[in-house]
Amino acid sequence: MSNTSPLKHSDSLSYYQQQNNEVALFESAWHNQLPVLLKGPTGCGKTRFVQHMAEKLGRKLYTVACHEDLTASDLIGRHLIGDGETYWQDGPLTRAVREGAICYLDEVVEARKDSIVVMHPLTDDRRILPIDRTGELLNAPPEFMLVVSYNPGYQNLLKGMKPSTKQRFMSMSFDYPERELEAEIVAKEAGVDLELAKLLARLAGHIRQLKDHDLEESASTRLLIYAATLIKSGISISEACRAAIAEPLSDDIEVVEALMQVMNAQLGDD
Amino acid sequence: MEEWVGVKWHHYITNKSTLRYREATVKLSDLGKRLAVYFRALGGDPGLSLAETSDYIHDGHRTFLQKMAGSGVKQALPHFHNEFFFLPHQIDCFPSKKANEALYYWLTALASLNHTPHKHHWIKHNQYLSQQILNNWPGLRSRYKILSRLQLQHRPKISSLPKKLQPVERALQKVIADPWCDNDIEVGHDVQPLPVMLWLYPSPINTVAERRDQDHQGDQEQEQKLAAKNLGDKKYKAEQMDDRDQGDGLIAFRLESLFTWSEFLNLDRSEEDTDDEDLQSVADDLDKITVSSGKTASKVKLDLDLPSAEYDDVVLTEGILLPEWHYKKEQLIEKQCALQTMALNITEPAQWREETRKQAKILKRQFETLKPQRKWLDRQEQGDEADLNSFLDFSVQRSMGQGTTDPNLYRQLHQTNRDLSTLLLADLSLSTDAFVSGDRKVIDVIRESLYIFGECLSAAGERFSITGFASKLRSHVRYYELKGFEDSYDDTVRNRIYAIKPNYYTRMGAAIRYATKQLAAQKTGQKLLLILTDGKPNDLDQYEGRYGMEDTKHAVNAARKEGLVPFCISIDIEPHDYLAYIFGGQSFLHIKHIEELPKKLPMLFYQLTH
Ligand SMILES: Nc1ncnc2c1ncn2[C@@H]1O[C@H](COP(=O)(O)OP(=O)(O)O)[C@@H](O)[C@H]1O
Ligand SMILES: [Mg+2]
Repeated sequence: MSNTSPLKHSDSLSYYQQQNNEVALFESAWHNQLPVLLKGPTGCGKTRFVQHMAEKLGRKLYTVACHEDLTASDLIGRHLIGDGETYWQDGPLTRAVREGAICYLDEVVEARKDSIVVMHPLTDDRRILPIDRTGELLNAPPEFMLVVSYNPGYQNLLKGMKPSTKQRFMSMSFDYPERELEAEIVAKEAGVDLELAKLLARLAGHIRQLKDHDLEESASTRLLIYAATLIKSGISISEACRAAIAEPLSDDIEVVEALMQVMNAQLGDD
Repeated sequence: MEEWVGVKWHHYITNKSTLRYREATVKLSDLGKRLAVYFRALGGDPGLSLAETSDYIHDGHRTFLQKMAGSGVKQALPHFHNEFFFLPHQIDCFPSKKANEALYYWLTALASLNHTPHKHHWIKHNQYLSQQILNNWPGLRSRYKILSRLQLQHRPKISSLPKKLQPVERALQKVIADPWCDNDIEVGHDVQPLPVMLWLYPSPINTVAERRDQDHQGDQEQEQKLAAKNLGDKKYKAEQMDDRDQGDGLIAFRLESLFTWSEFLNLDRSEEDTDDEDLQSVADDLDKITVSSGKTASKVKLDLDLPSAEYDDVVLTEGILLPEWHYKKEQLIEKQCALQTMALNITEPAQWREETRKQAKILKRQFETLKPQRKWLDRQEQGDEADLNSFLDFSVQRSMGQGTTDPNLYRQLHQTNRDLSTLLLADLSLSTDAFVSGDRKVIDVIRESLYIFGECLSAAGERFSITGFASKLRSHVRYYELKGFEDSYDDTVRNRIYAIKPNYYTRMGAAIRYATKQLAAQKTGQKLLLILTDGKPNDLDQYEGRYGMEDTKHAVNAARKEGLVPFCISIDIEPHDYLAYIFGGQSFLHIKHIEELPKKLPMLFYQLTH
């Protein structure tokens, strides 16, 4: 298979607002065939970033959302029965290796450790993928890249990534963008005016102070975009904030009410 | 003429002071948590807790109003003191519930700037705070308009006031109406206007005490009542806790409360960071408390000397030096604490109550079922079930003519080992000497809990350690290893658990740092650090309040960085905010009914780890 698709121009790529120097860092990881670990809270742009980078580098992207029941076969592939005969079907990881694509394992700590070990030989300098079931041994082409992400909050208490696994990756930390950038992102993504987006971003900044103390999760950029989208479609600001920000963040009525009061202090009573 | 003014004024005050809209009353307890979250979201110091204050005599009225009206006007004014932001326990000064509730939020917003109004410039200072909030939070402008209009309607008519008060009142009203107006008025000591409901006030304790120094005829009893009242509100007052319904579980007295108490009386103390602990001065402090808190203190016996050698536990190490975090200096000070590992002086074999033994037996049986950690293993030579996937692989290979000779086509249940070490660190400070009900003490409940915890974990084949700690100043942090990771859980361990007793104070940071070392040395992938405590960190020196909290928080974060998972189980009377501040919102559990601890502790362990 030839992998010669040219690098794309930035205007045709899906929109990603760079926060630091992550684009250059990722590119250089790809050129040097290093696997990458993205750390950061949910909804801060990790998935979008990978998508953007895959397009930019002209690679196909295979994304796997990890969960507890994910097995090694789900990643590598399995034999299937059809029409009286059995045949082998590649899993997304195998396919990505064959095609020199980027394989993105989202929320990798959600998967059981024994499912994840299959990626180990791909993360050191051997860059191989043994497929026990078929006896095949794949050598990953230079274009192949493994990217994993996880949310290092300790609410998962005993989950989390083994230090030894972590050390196989080059890692990049993500967080919610700073206020001005976040406002731009919200305005672009939801198609609302910048003033409204700024208010929402400022509100989020305050709510984020409550992380760990009062809230398990922070108000993500994604939630702000939802709120902005609702407002744009004619829902009142306070209803939109309740539905897209306050309620998703907490099931505790008192906390939800407090968040609504914070919203009122920022945006006024409707 | 003088006389007439006096009479008028009396009417005015009694009217005004009873001008309450009872049907519009909003209670702080109805809003409590909302305000706390609001406070923090707006930028309020997360290290502070919200507390309620009931009526007390407002500073300004003692000289003035008491003389004129013959009775004190009672006002509960919002203010900061120590680690608390106090709000009135109820607000009923405006005619609608909505307005009174809005007032709570407004006051909380002002407080979120973390300023205590300047004693002598409190008008200007409140003006400044109002401007800041209205600038930062434009959404509050319309509400402020409503609240300020209501407040102005409830201010005295300027012409009805004694001449002396008129300029101040005029300025005040101007500021309320427009916080951006020019204003140069400040208030002297002799005359104080009626409190403005929209504003924060300096701490009344400081103010009253200061005046006592000034006019030397301060009514000390009054002052103590005042302080006691605040303590009572904070649910820290020993006396009040005695009175509480024994049925709901708690408790006689808490030592921590005395230190909070002492801060109220000895104002200098919280300021001076006594780094070098001088036992005598500590004793002096305690004496003061004994003298002034009367009835309460008489119940408290403090043994300030270490017990004589023959009764004391055995010191195993002379001193392991540990650092301590100084939050004001933002610096980890090396070798600040000396920790001794101790062996308990065991005098009698364990004799558990019948009830406890029964409970242990039941729970133990449940935990035994956890022991065989069994899991399906695929591709086994033999087993309980066919492995469909390997069968498929096998058939494919055979059809391609490369069948293996020993196909592994079965699945089998297999025992797997847990990759987890758990260390339980229990607070054995003197506060656990408090009574729970009848003649049962907190320490008795802790003792039984450790016992049952040990029974359960050993039944489940867990790898664990049980330890306890207490402290007396930074030179004596005592660490008791009741069961080490390598010890088997047997009668020696049970006897040690049985022998624990209340001991001094709670220098939690040092204990956590040492426990972290022990646990971090374990070779398992997961390490759980359980901390069991009945109150805030505290010790006799500056290790109390914010200092102790910050140090403990620092130690907890350091443990986390070491790859440990710290988790706190609190049996404090209330689930105070400090728990979330120190441990993080997801990493603590507050157990309301302490008698449930023996059962809940192993259950919690199960929930965390399965
Ligand atoms: N830096 C960014 N540039 C562009 N869009 C962003 C950015 N950060 C967040 N977003 C928006 O937020 C949404 C959620 O981000 P996503 O990448 O799905 O988060 P994560 O994968 O970290 O959970 C995206 O769909 C996108 O609309
Ligand atoms: Mg204690």
